[in-house]
Amino acid sequence: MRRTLDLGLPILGVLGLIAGGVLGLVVAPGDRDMGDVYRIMYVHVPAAWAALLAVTVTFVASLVYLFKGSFKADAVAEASAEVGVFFGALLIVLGSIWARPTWGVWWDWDPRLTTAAILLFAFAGYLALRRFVDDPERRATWSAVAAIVADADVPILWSSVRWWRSLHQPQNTAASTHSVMSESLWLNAAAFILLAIWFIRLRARVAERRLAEELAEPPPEEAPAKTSMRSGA
Amino acid sequence: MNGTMVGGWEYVWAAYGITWAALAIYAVSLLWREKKTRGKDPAKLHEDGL
Repeated sequence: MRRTLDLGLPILGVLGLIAGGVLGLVVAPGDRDMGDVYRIMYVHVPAAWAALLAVTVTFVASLVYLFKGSFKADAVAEASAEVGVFFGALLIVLGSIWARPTWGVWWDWDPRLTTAAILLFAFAGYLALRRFVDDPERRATWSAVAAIVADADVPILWSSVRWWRSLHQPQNTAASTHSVMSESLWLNAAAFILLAIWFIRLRARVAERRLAEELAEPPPEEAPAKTSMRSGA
Repeated sequence: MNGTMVGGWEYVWAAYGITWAALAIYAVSLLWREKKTRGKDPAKLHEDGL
């Protein structure tokens, strides 16, 4: 099963990317307003969904750690947070490239963009926190709490285009788009999700092994008794 | 003039190029890290009841 997933996820992901690329770049018609520039949507939106999936996995794994104390869940949380940061950074870069020709700027402090940036920096901070804490138990607990707090941004990010008058367009529905546009988007999204799952599995394995190594290390030897200030003087 | 934006393929190619390159580089980095840590048995986690 493990070998099937290890091979199947990347193969299906890459095939999906190729087919999605052909559909999105060649087959799908141009947009009524944005012409061909809208084709960035086929990589921008899947990157957003992959990032949100990854940070949601971090949220769930963090809860599991807090309730069950499972270091396996902590490893999954670490892995999915890194994958979330990767797709989150990609999301912002792609959004910026799309914003330039359509809005005339690379960046705007629009609620959707701002909440996406907050999520990215919150999870980058989460990864930094993990590097600063040596004790595995303390690291897992602190970072689980940090992840849950950071994930409070997810529903705000998702709903921001409906809650506020936003420069960022709201989500399209299948009813408002050509069927080939929807198919291209779903195919690319499926490819990104498969790759995100593969990335999380690989990264979780690395985290588990590092943790196993840490736990196997002998406790540090007691420091030699300090000589008194007077005798050293 | 029908109000549709014209051109912009350079932005599209930049977006797709960055996406494919980023996915490939990240995948290679993960495979390399996975290979580097191979041999450090995660079963230890389960032996420790973790």
